[in-house]
Amino acid sequence: MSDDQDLSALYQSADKPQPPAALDETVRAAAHQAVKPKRSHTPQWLGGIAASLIAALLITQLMPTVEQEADISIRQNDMRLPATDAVEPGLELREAAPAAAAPKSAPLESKPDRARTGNQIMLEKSELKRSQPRKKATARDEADAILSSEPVEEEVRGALSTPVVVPTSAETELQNIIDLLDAGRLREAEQRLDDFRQRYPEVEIPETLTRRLEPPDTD
Amino acid sequence: MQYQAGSTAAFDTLYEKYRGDVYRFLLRQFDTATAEELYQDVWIKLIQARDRYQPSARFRTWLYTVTHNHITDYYRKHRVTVVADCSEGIETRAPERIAQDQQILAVLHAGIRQLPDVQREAFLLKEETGLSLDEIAEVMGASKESTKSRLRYATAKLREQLKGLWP
Repeated sequence: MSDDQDLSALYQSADKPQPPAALDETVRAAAHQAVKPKRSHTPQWLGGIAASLIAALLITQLMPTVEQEADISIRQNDMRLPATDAVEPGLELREAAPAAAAPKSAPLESKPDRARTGNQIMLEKSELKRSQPRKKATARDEADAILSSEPVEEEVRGALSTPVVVPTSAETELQNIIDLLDAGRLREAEQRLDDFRQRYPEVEIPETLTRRLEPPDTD
Repeated sequence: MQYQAGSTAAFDTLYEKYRGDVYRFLLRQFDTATAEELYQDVWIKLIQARDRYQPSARFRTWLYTVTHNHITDYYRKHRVTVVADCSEGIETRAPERIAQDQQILAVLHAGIRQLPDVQREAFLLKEETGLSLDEIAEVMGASKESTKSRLRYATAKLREQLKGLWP
Protein backbone atom coordinates (compact mmCIF):
# COMPACT_ATOMS: atom_id res chain seq x y z
CA MET A 1 0.00 0.00 0.00
CA SER A 2 2.91 2.33 0.74
CA ASP A 3 4.10 1.71 -2.83
CA ASP A 4 0.75 2.99 -4.07
CA GLN A 5 1.08 6.05 -1.89
CA ASP A 6 4.55 6.71 -3.28
CA LEU A 7 3.28 6.49 -6.81
CA SER A 8 0.37 8.70 -5.91
CA ALA A 9 2.73 11.24 -4.37
CA LEU A 10 4.84 11.17 -7.53
CA TYR A 11 1.79 11.74 -9.67
CA GLN A 12 0.61 14.60 -7.47
CA SER A 13 4.02 16.28 -7.62
CA ALA A 14 3.48 17.06 -11.27
CA ASP A 15 2.28 20.44 -12.42
CA LYS A 16 -1.42 20.92 -12.34
CA PRO A 17 -2.39 22.42 -15.65
CA GLN A 18 -5.58 24.43 -15.75
CA PRO A 19 -7.99 24.88 -18.61
CA PRO A 20 -7.25 27.89 -20.80
CA ALA A 21 -9.11 31.08 -19.98
CA ALA A 22 -10.86 31.03 -23.35
CA LEU A 23 -12.25 27.59 -22.61
CA ASP A 24 -13.45 28.74 -19.20
CA GLU A 25 -15.12 31.69 -20.83
CA THR A 26 -16.88 29.52 -23.37
CA VAL A 27 -18.22 27.13 -20.75
CA ARG A 28 -19.34 29.89 -18.38
CA ALA A 29 -21.06 31.75 -21.20
CA ALA A 30 -22.89 28.60 -22.24
CA ALA A 31 -23.97 27.98 -18.65
CA HIS A 32 -25.21 31.51 -18.17
CA GLN A 33 -26.98 31.51 -21.52
CA ALA A 34 -28.74 28.25 -20.69
CA VAL A 35 -30.45 29.62 -17.58
CA LYS A 36 -31.02 33.10 -18.96
CA PRO A 37 -34.75 33.73 -19.10
CA LYS A 38 -35.81 33.69 -22.69
CA ARG A 39 -37.21 37.02 -23.69
CA SER A 40 -40.04 36.38 -25.98
CA HIS A 41 -41.15 39.32 -28.07
CA THR A 42 -44.65 38.99 -26.71
CA PRO A 43 -45.16 37.41 -23.33
CA GLN A 44 -48.04 34.99 -23.04
CA TRP A 45 -50.06 37.22 -20.76
CA LEU A 46 -49.61 40.08 -23.21
CA GLY A 47 -50.92 37.86 -25.98
CA GLY A 48 -54.04 37.23 -23.92
CA ILE A 49 -54.58 40.92 -23.35
CA ALA A 50 -54.06 41.63 -27.05
CA ALA A 51 -56.60 38.96 -27.97
CA SER A 52 -59.11 40.42 -25.51
CA LEU A 53 -58.58 43.91 -26.88
CA ILE A 54 -59.05 42.72 -30.44
CA ALA A 55 -62.22 40.89 -29.43
CA ALA A 56 -63.55 44.00 -27.67
CA LEU A 57 -62.67 46.14 -30.67
CA LEU A 58 -64.43 43.78 -33.03
CA ILE A 59 -67.53 43.76 -30.86
CA THR A 60 -67.64 47.54 -30.65
CA GLN A 61 -67.16 47.81 -34.39
CA LEU A 62 -69.62 45.11 -35.37
CA MET A 63 -72.43 45.96 -32.96
CA PRO A 64 -73.36 49.26 -34.65
CA THR A 65 -73.29 47.51 -38.01
CA VAL A 66 -75.66 44.83 -36.79
CA GLU A 67 -77.93 47.45 -35.26
CA GLN A 68 -77.74 49.43 -38.44
CA GLU A 69 -78.73 46.43 -40.50
CA ALA A 70 -81.65 45.86 -38.18
CA ASP A 71 -82.59 49.52 -38.59
CA ILE A 72 -82.49 49.19 -42.34
CA SER A 73 -84.68 46.15 -42.22
CA ILE A 74 -87.18 48.00 -40.05
CA ARG A 75 -86.98 51.08 -42.22
CA GLN A 76 -87.71 49.08 -45.32
CA ASN A 77 -90.70 47.53 -43.69
CA ASP A 78 -91.86 50.89 -42.41
CA MET A 79 -91.55 52.44 -45.81
CA ARG A 80 -93.48 49.72 -47.52
CA LEU A 81 -96.24 49.06 -45.09
CA PRO A 82 -99.08 51.16 -43.85
CA ALA A 83 -98.58 52.62 -40.43
CA THR A 84 -100.76 50.11 -38.71
CA ASP A 85 -99.14 47.16 -40.38
CA ALA A 86 -95.80 47.23 -38.69
CA VAL A 87 -93.97 44.02 -39.26
CA GLU A 88 -91.73 42.39 -36.78
CA PRO A 89 -88.15 43.49 -37.35
CA GLY A 90 -86.97 39.96 -37.87
CA LEU A 91 -89.68 39.18 -40.30
CA GLU A 92 -87.97 38.70 -43.60
CA LEU A 93 -89.02 37.78 -47.06
CA ARG A 94 -88.04 34.20 -46.44
CA GLU A 95 -90.74 33.86 -43.88
CA ALA A 96 -93.27 35.71 -45.89
CA ALA A 97 -92.82 34.06 -49.27
CA PRO A 98 -94.58 30.78 -48.70
CA ALA A 99 -97.45 32.50 -46.98
CA ALA A 100 -101.00 32.24 -48.13
CA ALA A 101 -101.85 33.61 -51.48
CA ALA A 102 -102.33 37.31 -51.46
CA PRO A 103 -103.84 39.74 -53.87
CA LYS A 104 -101.33 40.35 -56.60
CA SER A 105 -102.48 43.86 -56.98
CA ALA A 106 -101.53 44.85 -53.48
CA PRO A 107 -100.23 48.34 -53.79
CA LEU A 108 -96.72 49.18 -52.71
CA GLU A 109 -96.17 52.61 -51.37
CA SER A 110 -92.60 53.61 -51.77
CA LYS A 111 -93.24 56.51 -49.42
CA PRO A 112 -95.10 56.02 -46.20
CA ASP A 113 -98.41 57.69 -45.79
CA ARG A 114 -97.56 58.76 -42.41
CA ALA A 115 -95.80 61.99 -41.97
CA ARG A 116 -93.17 60.87 -39.59
CA THR A 117 -89.92 62.62 -39.10
CA GLY A 118 -86.51 60.98 -39.31
CA ASN A 119 -86.09 61.34 -35.61
CA GLN A 120 -89.45 59.77 -34.97
CA ILE A 121 -88.53 56.86 -37.19
CA MET A 122 -85.34 56.36 -35.28
CA LEU A 123 -87.12 56.54 -31.97
CA GLU A 124 -89.79 54.13 -33.01
CA LYS A 125 -87.25 51.74 -34.35
CA SER A 126 -85.22 51.77 -31.20
CA GLU A 127 -88.32 51.23 -29.15
CA LEU A 128 -89.37 48.46 -31.44
CA LYS A 129 -86.02 46.84 -31.05
CA ARG A 130 -86.09 47.08 -27.30
CA SER A 131 -89.55 45.82 -26.70
CA GLN A 132 -89.87 43.48 -29.68
CA PRO A 133 -93.65 43.66 -29.51
CA ARG A 134 -95.58 40.78 -30.85
CA LYS A 135 -98.14 42.09 -33.23
CA LYS A 136 -101.38 40.37 -33.61
CA ALA A 137 -101.58 37.64 -36.21
CA THR A 138 -103.71 39.68 -38.57
CA ALA A 139 -101.11 42.36 -39.02
CA ARG A 140 -98.53 39.76 -39.71
CA ASP A 141 -100.74 37.97 -42.15
CA GLU A 142 -101.38 41.19 -43.97
CA ALA A 143 -97.73 41.90 -44.12
CA ASP A 144 -97.07 38.42 -45.43
CA ALA A 145 -99.73 38.90 -48.00
CA ILE A 146 -98.27 42.17 -49.19
CA LEU A 147 -94.74 40.85 -49.27
CA SER A 148 -95.68 37.65 -51.02
CA SER A 149 -97.08 39.55 -53.98
CA GLU A 150 -94.57 39.15 -56.79
CA PRO A 151 -93.74 42.73 -57.69
CA VAL A 152 -93.27 43.56 -54.07
CA GLU A 153 -91.26 40.44 -53.54
CA GLU A 154 -88.98 41.37 -56.40
CA GLU A 155 -88.59 44.84 -55.10
CA VAL A 156 -87.90 43.76 -51.55
CA ARG A 157 -85.50 41.11 -52.71
CA GLY A 158 -83.64 43.73 -54.70
CA ALA A 159 -83.66 46.07 -51.78
CA LEU A 160 -82.28 43.40 -49.51
CA SER A 161 -79.60 42.37 -51.94
CA THR A 162 -78.41 45.95 -52.19
CA PRO A 163 -79.19 47.30 -48.77
CA VAL A 164 -79.50 51.01 -48.32
CA VAL A 165 -76.93 51.95 -45.78
CA VAL A 166 -78.01 54.88 -43.72
CA PRO A 167 -75.01 56.23 -41.96
CA THR A 168 -75.50 56.74 -38.29
CA SER A 169 -74.29 60.28 -38.79
CA ALA A 170 -77.61 61.33 -40.43
CA GLU A 171 -79.10 62.16 -37.08
CA THR A 172 -76.01 64.10 -36.16
CA GLU A 173 -76.19 65.98 -39.43
CA LEU A 174 -79.81 66.91 -38.76
CA GLN A 175 -78.96 67.99 -35.27
CA ASN A 176 -76.17 70.14 -36.67
CA ILE A 177 -78.61 71.82 -39.03
CA ILE A 178 -80.96 72.48 -36.12
CA ASP A 179 -78.05 73.89 -34.17
CA LEU A 180 -77.23 76.20 -37.07
CA LEU A 181 -80.83 77.38 -37.14
CA ASP A 182 -80.77 77.94 -33.41
CA ALA A 183 -77.65 80.00 -33.91
CA GLY A 184 -79.45 82.06 -36.54
CA ARG A 185 -77.23 80.89 -39.38
CA LEU A 186 -80.13 80.35 -41.76
CA ARG A 187 -78.24 80.38 -45.04
CA GLU A 188 -75.70 77.90 -43.79
CA ALA A 189 -78.47 75.68 -42.46
CA GLU A 190 -80.22 75.70 -45.82
CA GLN A 191 -77.01 74.79 -47.57
CA ARG A 192 -76.39 71.97 -45.15
CA LEU A 193 -79.94 70.73 -45.58
CA ASP A 194 -79.53 70.65 -49.35
CA ASP A 195 -76.38 68.64 -48.93
CA PHE A 196 -78.17 66.40 -46.50
CA ARG A 197 -81.01 65.75 -48.96
CA GLN A 198 -78.50 64.74 -51.59
CA ARG A 199 -76.58 62.50 -49.29
CA TYR A 200 -79.52 60.97 -47.47
CA PRO A 201 -82.40 61.02 -49.92
CA GLU A 202 -84.16 58.21 -48.08
CA VAL A 203 -84.22 60.01 -44.73
CA GLU A 204 -87.20 62.14 -44.06
CA ILE A 205 -86.53 65.64 -42.94
CA PRO A 206 -88.25 66.38 -39.65
CA GLU A 207 -91.24 68.60 -40.15
CA THR A 208 -90.11 70.94 -37.44
CA LEU A 209 -86.95 71.54 -39.38
CA THR A 210 -88.59 72.08 -42.74
CA ARG A 211 -91.07 74.46 -41.14
CA ARG A 212 -88.30 76.53 -39.70
CA LEU A 213 -86.62 76.78 -43.07
CA GLU A 214 -89.74 77.82 -44.92
CA PRO A 215 -89.87 81.53 -45.67
CA PRO A 216 -92.19 83.29 -43.25
CA ASP A 217 -95.63 84.24 -44.48
CA THR A 218 -95.64 87.76 -45.66
CA ASP A 219 -99.37 88.04 -45.61
CA MET B 1 -28.95 22.28 -7.15
CA GLN B 2 -29.19 26.02 -7.23
CA TYR B 3 -28.05 26.15 -10.83
CA GLN B 4 -31.17 24.23 -11.82
CA ALA B 5 -33.16 27.10 -10.39
CA GLY B 6 -31.26 29.54 -12.57
CA SER B 7 -28.44 30.63 -10.29
CA THR B 8 -25.43 31.30 -12.47
CA ALA B 9 -23.39 32.04 -9.35
CA ALA B 10 -23.98 28.45 -8.21
CA PHE B 11 -22.65 27.20 -11.51
CA ASP B 12 -19.59 29.43 -11.28
CA THR B 13 -18.83 28.03 -7.84
CA LEU B 14 -19.11 24.44 -9.03
CA TYR B 15 -17.14 25.16 -12.13
CA GLU B 16 -14.33 26.79 -10.18
CA LYS B 17 -14.17 23.80 -7.88
CA TYR B 18 -13.98 21.10 -10.55
CA ARG B 19 -12.56 22.70 -13.65
CA GLY B 20 -8.92 21.82 -12.94
CA ASP B 21 -9.60 18.21 -11.97
CA VAL B 22 -11.76 17.53 -15.02
CA TYR B 23 -9.27 19.18 -17.31
CA ARG B 24 -6.33 17.18 -16.02
CA PHE B 25 -8.36 14.01 -15.98
CA LEU B 26 -8.83 14.47 -19.73
CA LEU B 27 -5.40 15.91 -20.45
CA ARG B 28 -3.69 12.83 -19.02
CA GLN B 29 -5.58 10.67 -21.47
CA PHE B 30 -5.63 12.68 -24.67
CA ASP B 31 -3.58 15.22 -26.55
CA THR B 32 -4.24 18.83 -25.59
CA ALA B 33 -6.57 19.63 -28.49
CA THR B 34 -8.72 16.55 -27.93
CA ALA B 35 -8.70 17.05 -24.18
CA GLU B 36 -9.93 20.62 -24.58
CA GLU B 37 -12.60 19.58 -27.04
CA LEU B 38 -13.81 16.86 -24.71
CA TYR B 39 -13.60 19.18 -21.74
CA GLN B 40 -15.93 21.66 -23.41
CA ASP B 41 -18.27 18.92 -24.57
CA VAL B 42 -18.53 17.49 -21.08
CA TRP B 43 -19.45 20.80 -19.51
CA ILE B 44 -21.95 21.57 -22.23
CA LYS B 45 -23.52 18.16 -21.63
CA LEU B 46 -23.74 18.91 -17.93
CA ILE B 47 -25.37 22.26 -18.61
CA GLN B 48 -27.89 20.71 -20.95
CA ALA B 49 -28.60 17.86 -18.55
CA ARG B 50 -28.92 20.07 -15.48
CA ASP B 51 -32.66 19.38 -15.16
CA ARG B 52 -32.04 15.65 -14.98
CA TYR B 53 -29.61 15.96 -12.12
CA GLN B 54 -30.98 14.34 -8.98
CA PRO B 55 -29.89 16.10 -5.81
CA SER B 56 -29.68 12.70 -4.14
CA ALA B 57 -26.53 11.95 -6.15
CA ARG B 58 -23.29 13.70 -5.33
CA PHE B 59 -22.47 16.28 -7.93
CA ARG B 60 -18.89 15.07 -8.22
CA THR B 61 -20.00 11.53 -8.96
CA TRP B 62 -22.50 12.76 -11.52
CA LEU B 63 -19.89 15.01 -13.12
CA TYR B 64 -17.42 12.17 -13.61
CA THR B 65 -20.11 9.76 -14.71
CA VAL B 66 -20.99 12.19 -17.50
CA THR B 67 -17.29 12.57 -18.29
CA HIS B 68 -16.72 8.83 -18.29
CA ASN B 69 -19.68 8.28 -20.62
CA HIS B 70 -18.45 10.96 -22.95
CA ILE B 71 -14.99 9.46 -23.09
CA THR B 72 -16.50 6.03 -23.80
CA ASP B 73 -18.51 7.55 -26.65
CA TYR B 74 -15.42 9.24 -27.95
CA TYR B 75 -13.49 5.99 -28.01
CA ARG B 76 -16.34 4.27 -29.71
CA LYS B 77 -16.52 6.90 -32.42
CA HIS B 78 -12.86 7.53 -33.01
CA ARG B 79 -11.29 4.19 -32.19
CA VAL B 80 -8.38 5.98 -30.63
CA THR B 81 -5.19 4.04 -30.41
CA VAL B 82 -3.88 5.43 -27.22
CA VAL B 83 -0.56 3.69 -27.55
CA ALA B 84 0.26 5.63 -30.71
CA ASP B 85 -0.55 8.90 -28.98
CA CYS B 86 1.65 7.95 -26.09
CA SER B 87 4.65 7.10 -28.17
CA GLU B 88 4.28 10.43 -29.92
CA GLY B 89 4.24 12.09 -26.54
CA ILE B 90 7.39 10.36 -25.51
CA GLU B 91 9.17 10.96 -28.77
CA THR B 92 8.48 14.67 -28.90
CA ARG B 93 10.16 15.13 -25.60
CA ALA B 94 13.88 15.29 -25.25
CA PRO B 95 14.63 13.53 -21.99
CA GLU B 96 18.24 14.70 -21.89
CA ARG B 97 17.10 18.32 -21.92
CA ILE B 98 14.64 18.14 -19.07
CA ALA B 99 15.36 17.70 -15.41
CA GLN B 100 15.33 14.25 -13.90
CA ASP B 101 12.05 14.66 -12.02
CA GLN B 102 10.40 16.10 -15.07
CA GLN B 103 11.62 13.14 -17.02
CA ILE B 104 10.18 10.79 -14.48
CA LEU B 105 6.85 12.55 -14.64
CA ALA B 106 6.89 12.49 -18.41
CA VAL B 107 7.44 8.77 -18.33
CA LEU B 108 4.71 8.39 -15.76
CA HIS B 109 2.26 10.36 -17.87
CA ALA B 110 3.25 8.44 -20.95
CA GLY B 111 2.81 5.22 -19.02
CA ILE B 112 -0.64 6.31 -17.95
CA ARG B 113 -1.61 6.84 -21.55
CA GLN B 114 -0.37 3.41 -22.44
CA LEU B 115 -2.61 1.76 -19.89
CA PRO B 116 -5.78 -0.01 -21.06
CA ASP B 117 -8.73 2.34 -21.05
CA VAL B 118 -10.43 1.03 -17.94
CA GLN B 119 -7.21 0.91 -15.93
CA ARG B 120 -6.17 4.36 -17.02
CA GLU B 121 -9.53 5.82 -16.18
CA ALA B 122 -9.67 4.12 -12.82
CA PHE B 123 -6.19 5.37 -11.99
CA LEU B 124 -6.96 8.95 -13.07
CA LEU B 125 -10.29 8.98 -11.28
CA LYS B 126 -8.47 8.00 -8.15
CA GLU B 127 -5.66 10.53 -8.57
CA GLU B 128 -7.43 13.50 -10.09
CA THR B 129 -10.92 13.51 -8.70
CA GLY B 130 -10.64 12.44 -5.12
CA LEU B 131 -13.46 9.95 -5.56
CA SER B 132 -13.59 7.00 -3.20
CA LEU B 133 -13.26 3.42 -4.45
CA ASP B 134 -17.02 2.99 -4.27
CA GLU B 135 -17.61 6.16 -6.21
CA ILE B 136 -15.08 5.20 -8.87
CA ALA B 137 -16.86 1.89 -9.22
CA GLU B 138 -20.18 3.73 -9.52
CA VAL B 139 -18.87 6.15 -12.13
CA MET B 140 -17.38 3.36 -14.19
CA GLY B 141 -20.36 1.11 -13.77
CA ALA B 142 -18.19 -1.65 -12.37
CA SER B 143 -18.06 -3.59 -9.16
CA LYS B 144 -15.86 -2.48 -6.34
CA GLU B 145 -13.71 -5.57 -6.70
CA SER B 146 -13.08 -5.15 -10.38
CA THR B 147 -12.30 -1.47 -9.82
CA LYS B 148 -9.81 -2.44 -7.17
CA SER B 149 -8.32 -4.93 -9.57
CA ARG B 150 -8.02 -2.34 -12.33
CA LEU B 151 -6.23 0.00 -10.01
CA ARG B 152 -3.86 -2.70 -8.93
CA TYR B 153 -2.98 -3.60 -12.50
CA ALA B 154 -2.56 0.05 -13.43
CA THR B 155 -0.15 0.68 -10.58
CA ALA B 156 1.86 -2.40 -11.42
CA LYS B 157 2.23 -1.38 -15.06
CA LEU B 158 3.25 2.14 -14.20
CA ARG B 159 5.89 0.86 -11.86
CA GLU B 160 7.15 -1.28 -14.66
CA GLN B 161 7.42 1.80 -16.89
CA LEU B 162 9.32 3.71 -14.25
CA LYS B 163 11.74 0.95 -13.49
CA GLY B 164 15.25 2.28 -13.49
CA LEU B 165 14.13 5.89 -13.22
CA TRP B 166 12.21 5.87 -10.03
CA PRO B 167 12.74 3.73 -6.99
